[in-house]
Amino acid sequence: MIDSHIYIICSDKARNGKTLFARLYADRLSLSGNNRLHVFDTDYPHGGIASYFPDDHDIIDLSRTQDQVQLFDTMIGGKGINYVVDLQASLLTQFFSIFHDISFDTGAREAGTGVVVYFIVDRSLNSIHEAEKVRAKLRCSEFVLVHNEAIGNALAIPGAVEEYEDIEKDRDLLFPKLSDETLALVESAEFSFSDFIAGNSEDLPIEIRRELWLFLEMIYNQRRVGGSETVHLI
Amino acid sequence: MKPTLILVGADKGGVGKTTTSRALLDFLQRRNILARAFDTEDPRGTLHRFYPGITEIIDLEEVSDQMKVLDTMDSAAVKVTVVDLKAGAMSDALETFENIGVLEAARNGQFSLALIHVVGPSIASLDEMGEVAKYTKDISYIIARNFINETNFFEWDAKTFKKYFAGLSNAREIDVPKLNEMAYEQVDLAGVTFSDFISNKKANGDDGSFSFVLRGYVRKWIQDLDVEFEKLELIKSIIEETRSASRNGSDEGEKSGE
Repeated sequence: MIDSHIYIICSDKARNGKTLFARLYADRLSLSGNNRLHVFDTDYPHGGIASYFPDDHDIIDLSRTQDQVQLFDTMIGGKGINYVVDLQASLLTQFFSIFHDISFDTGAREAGTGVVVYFIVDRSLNSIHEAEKVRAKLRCSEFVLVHNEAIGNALAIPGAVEEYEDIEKDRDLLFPKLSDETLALVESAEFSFSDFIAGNSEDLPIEIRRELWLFLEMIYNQRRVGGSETVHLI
Repeated sequence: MKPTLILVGADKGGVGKTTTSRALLDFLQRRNILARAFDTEDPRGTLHRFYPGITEIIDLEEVSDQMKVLDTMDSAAVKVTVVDLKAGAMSDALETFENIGVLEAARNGQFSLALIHVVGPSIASLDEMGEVAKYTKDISYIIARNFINETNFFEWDAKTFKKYFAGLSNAREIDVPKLNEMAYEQVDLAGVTFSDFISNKKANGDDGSFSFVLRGYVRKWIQDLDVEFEKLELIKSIIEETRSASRNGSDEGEKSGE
């Protein structure tokens, strides 16, 4: 019986919307279900996503075994807690090497925790290759490929579609592009998607509110996977 | 089944002799191959701490203790004997064994003898290979290159590498991969076998609370090391002979039951 989840948000490249996606996910999680939320930020030492979740985060230095233990042992033992891991692009290979070596997703499943990996596909063919490498490290995790409309389309590269189709995945997700003005707003430390969804952002200009609602609706209304034990919030 | 004596040693300290012995005993246990062990680190006995049930602490300089190991190989029910030689004792032990005819008996096929020589990434450690060459003729000589740290055993220096490794025509080489330090320390602290640590079991059989991450590291390390052990003809032979003995035992049992 799966009663909590670990959501790992990753990519092979930095600055392609990974942390924004992780925030959106974490905010959405904080509004749903009975499970508590905890965020792991691998951007050591300063943190990135951590500042948006001041009371529910840990910043992890993945190069230290003690921190690896803190990260993975906490997640596997965290009954009734959902976790979001915002993984630095530079740590992608190291993280999934450890993940695979210790059979993390198998252990998590045995402990009643499902693992979902969201990989943001960057604009290059190499990103598809990296996604495939990550997929190969998973045993029983769900794997979702996310396309950020704002960063370009790797699938437009000749030959990319065939390679992309070969990747075993549970779902594709399109992350719509936001206008520069709205993006600047959501990236500010004061903004919270959960506050917005809860109706606490009435002071925002109507154009921005409308754009954000459309943005969220476009994400939430995308195709769901049937038969999965995992509740895909988006 | 022909008795097998496996010596694990090095003259240099801290290269992982006892770790290799523990990993070997773990490997054998998981394959249901009965083994007994002797720990020459008298009186402390590091190996004995992890395998108290099958390990005896001895002083190999004492004749009575030499007899415990050598004179019982044929009569002991357990046919595989592992001797963990304490640091600095390998050359002396080999010389003693040569002098009293143990090596000659092995060369004549009275029993199988293997020396697992654990070497670390230092010239002093590698020099030992030349020093023991006079003893290792016609016995199973295995060099275990212990990757204690992120080393490459001078592979970057073709001349040095060739000097130490290229001329070892009678030796088999295995690599002992690096085990995460914290994982190693936790197993050490727990005083359990690698398998028990992986299974989250304390020495008394109760459930442990060992880190999932560290257990994962140990499991991966053991899996990698198993591949290395399985490459060895000596190990293949022990496994095959054990299977064969087991089959024969079953056949005998069926016959007697008829």
